[in-house]
Amino acid sequence: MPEVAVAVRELTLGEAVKEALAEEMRRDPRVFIIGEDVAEAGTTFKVLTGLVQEFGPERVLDTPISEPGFTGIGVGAAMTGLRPVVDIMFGDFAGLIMDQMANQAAKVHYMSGGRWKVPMVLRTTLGATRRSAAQHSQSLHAWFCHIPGLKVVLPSTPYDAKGLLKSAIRDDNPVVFYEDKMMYKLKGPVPEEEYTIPLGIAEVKRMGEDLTIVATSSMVQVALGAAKLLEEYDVSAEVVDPRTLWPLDEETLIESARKTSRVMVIDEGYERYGAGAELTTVIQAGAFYDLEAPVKRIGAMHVPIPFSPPLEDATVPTEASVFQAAMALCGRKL
Amino acid sequence: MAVSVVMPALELAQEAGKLLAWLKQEGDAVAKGEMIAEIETDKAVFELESPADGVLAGVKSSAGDMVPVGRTIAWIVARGEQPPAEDAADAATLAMQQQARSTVAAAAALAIAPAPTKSGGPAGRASPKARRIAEEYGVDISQIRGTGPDGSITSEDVLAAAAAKSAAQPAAAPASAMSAVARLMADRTTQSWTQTPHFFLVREVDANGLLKARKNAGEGFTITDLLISLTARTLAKHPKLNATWTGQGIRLNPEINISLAIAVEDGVVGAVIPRADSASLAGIAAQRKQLAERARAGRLRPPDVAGGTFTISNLGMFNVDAFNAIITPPQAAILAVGRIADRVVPVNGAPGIRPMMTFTLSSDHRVVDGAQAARFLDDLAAALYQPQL
Repeated sequence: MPEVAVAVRELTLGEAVKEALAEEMRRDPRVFIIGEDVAEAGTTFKVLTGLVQEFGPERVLDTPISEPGFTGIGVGAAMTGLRPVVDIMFGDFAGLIMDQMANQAAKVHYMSGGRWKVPMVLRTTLGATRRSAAQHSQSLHAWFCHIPGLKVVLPSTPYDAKGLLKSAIRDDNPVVFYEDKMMYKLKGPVPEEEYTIPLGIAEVKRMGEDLTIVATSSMVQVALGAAKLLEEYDVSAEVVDPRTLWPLDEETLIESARKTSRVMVIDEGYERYGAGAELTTVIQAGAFYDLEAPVKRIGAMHVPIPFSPPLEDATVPTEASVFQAAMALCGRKL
Repeated sequence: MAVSVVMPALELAQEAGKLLAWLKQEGDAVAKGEMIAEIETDKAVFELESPADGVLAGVKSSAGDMVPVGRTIAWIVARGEQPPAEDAADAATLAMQQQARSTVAAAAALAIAPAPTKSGGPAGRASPKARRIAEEYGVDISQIRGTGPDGSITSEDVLAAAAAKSAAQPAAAPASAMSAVARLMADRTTQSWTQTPHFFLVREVDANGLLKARKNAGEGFTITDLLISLTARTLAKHPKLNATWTGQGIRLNPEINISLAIAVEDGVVGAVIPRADSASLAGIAAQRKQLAERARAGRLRPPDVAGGTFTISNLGMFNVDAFNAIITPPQAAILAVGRIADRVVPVNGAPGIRPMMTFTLSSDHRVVDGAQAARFLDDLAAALYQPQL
């Protein structure tokens, strides 16, 4: 039988997000998009281009610059039966919408004795190195992880972005969905057939023996790059992507830690009091007697993200810094 | 005036004793009758009393030395007094002992790097995993030099030290010293045989069903695996056979952990298959294989031999027809299994040839009586006749 070359369809992460939205909007008339510049402009990052043409301005709603207002609209719409996808251009604006998210969306189901629910997705961005300065470069996902009642999703590949976003839209709870603005152009295989990825299932992105690198969002790509460098030094790194920080697949993290005995946690949020601290604690509590060394945590420096490109690059984890830390963790000299 | 401390003869026919440890150090004040050292004979450990009031001095033997009975190992002197000079015979012994010690030391040095300095720096720090493994393998972590970051001790370092230690063991052990396994076996069988009121029930069983069941189970299963499974399940109906004499009464053990007697180089060890009554046959076989491999490699870990509640000892592979086994305290019973051999037996009133085997059940009469043990044996024989696995 002749070999048939099957072309694997590749999409960018941005295209995968748009495809997930389009599919869910076709599938469920209750799904709609609301936010700044989401319609004609297709967002600042051009992720939603074309959606308003297909679904019309009633389902792709442009708003004034009023994050607290349209996030509140999203919460109310969700409570009354729709399934809004609220677009917050920069994750740095989380402060503006915190009451809507933390005190309304996250609490309503509980405080109504289960009579109300908030099936809303809040799509927003994180990630530095775009030269966007201190108010547009932060990764503040830990803020939402801290609130019971919110789910927090951080895809690291186009495939995961599509499957996780579809699950997020179908979830009856408020879900905060983080896209790294530097990953929108990242290409990867995305099958044409329908699929979803359940929230709360980590994925081992690369198998390894000598150490585990737990990484979130774009830091998974950084970890995979570092793992390649490490391979040249005969250090075999396993890369584990939790994919959702809440719910958190503790078992997979602990299992990998117990296997390799050495663990690094890479998250682009501020290192102090961040998501990495939580992951580190989970791992050390579950795998303490299998660890050869303290869990190494790397996040953004405890400074405002600088506008200066060389300084900005130095504040967040890179392949080189992860590689160096991994070598040190394994007791290997360079 | 100086009083000599000599290696005592604690038992008839004792030729030498091993100095296990000094409880007092050279220069310590001691009172007459106070314990100053631990001496091990081939049956037990004794504490050595000081023969006089004074100061311990002139210590000639170190922990680990085998010393002939009657030899001076130290002196008790008045404060400020010098111990008497050694006599010629003592000097010769000392020289031999030192030579032996240096051989030990050389072997140990090969195996284990010098102790790290205690002062400052993370050198000598051990990871949680390293500490756990060291405990499991009985390795003294303070004697290991770490190769991890900043000299920290990793589990690999511990495993290397454990391997070196077991490799160095034959060279390090003095000719007269017994291995821990052999010593433990000596102690435990003596204790059990002299203190546990044994009684024995013998039962011949038809092994045809057992052989068929093994064949049906597929490759990789032994008669022992099947016996472990069937015995454990039968024990579930006979808790008295899975019990312990506590001194005050009987404790029924909540778990059925089958201890399997495995022959090793210098004795026998009881490797434990926990909760064998609920384990699958495949699970039992896999555990039995692992335990046997570890036992033969001398790598059994403490959990491998802990918690047994009933022992099976199978000498069938050595062509033994039947034997009486000694109970392993704190267990209350042990099943001795003989070989399977073709015998002429009555089959439907006529002589027939059947594969037969003989079980001998040893039981502790403080825990279980003859009728109870017999009912267990009867149920086991029935289970064997048509094994449900």
